[in-house]
Amino acid sequence: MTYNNPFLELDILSNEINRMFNSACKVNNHNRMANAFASRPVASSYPKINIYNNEEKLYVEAVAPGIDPEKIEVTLTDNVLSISGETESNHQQNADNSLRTERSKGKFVRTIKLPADVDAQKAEAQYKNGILLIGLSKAEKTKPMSIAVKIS
Amino acid sequence: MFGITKTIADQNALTDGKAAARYVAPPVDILEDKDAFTIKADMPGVNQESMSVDVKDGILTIEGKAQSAFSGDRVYTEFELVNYQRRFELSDKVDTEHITAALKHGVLNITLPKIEEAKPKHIEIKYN
Repeated sequence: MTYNNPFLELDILSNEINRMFNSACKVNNHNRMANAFASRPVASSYPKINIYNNEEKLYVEAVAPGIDPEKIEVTLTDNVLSISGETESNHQQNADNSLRTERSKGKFVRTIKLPADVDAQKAEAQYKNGILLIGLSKAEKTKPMSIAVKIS
Repeated sequence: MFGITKTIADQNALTDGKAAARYVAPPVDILEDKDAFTIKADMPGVNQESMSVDVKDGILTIEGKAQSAFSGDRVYTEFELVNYQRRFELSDKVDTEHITAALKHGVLNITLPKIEEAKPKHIEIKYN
């Protein structure tokens, strides 16, 4: 191999780096810079969640628009909640007729360590307007208990 | 040359005095086929009643109010549900009289049919 023009080599390298950045950024809109070097979407950041807490229950709310409810799977193992599913696949829209692509697509898995012990038997989930709401009953031992103070 | 010439990024110029900071632009996909353009917008938390799609002076405006499915003592936060708004400038290829929209699972799907003149024509080649 001969190096007639070292600047040409640098140009090729620079183009290659730009290409890698561009293709990585396209993959996941949620975390553009963080995932610049990832070859596929980093699962842990999708879907975004909020957690609510009261004396009896724990609620996990997740934003995941455009998913067939039958394709959402919620599992609970040892206080670790796992939400997985698949948004509409890329097959439905090929690059030829696409003028703009900003929405995230593909498979996702997210696992969340819950902040309290919950009773897996009493978990329930509903999907409405693209938001998944999971209600979890706290295990008996973690519920606050009032202790009567006796006056002697 | 596209049916949807551009999305209007400068919200301030068009929000008619509304506080622009309270709106976010939903992410969209725009597709084109021979008969129509399709816009898909992610607007989680929006229901049919709080959604509006308007066309005025060649500008398509989508707007929606997101409502949380739940309110309570929040102990961990990654997102806030907000109001969505986004505007698109339509070219004269779009038949604005026949635009249809549907909302499903937090995704707004808008179909913008092309006017007859803008649809591709197939020309038969005749042999003598």
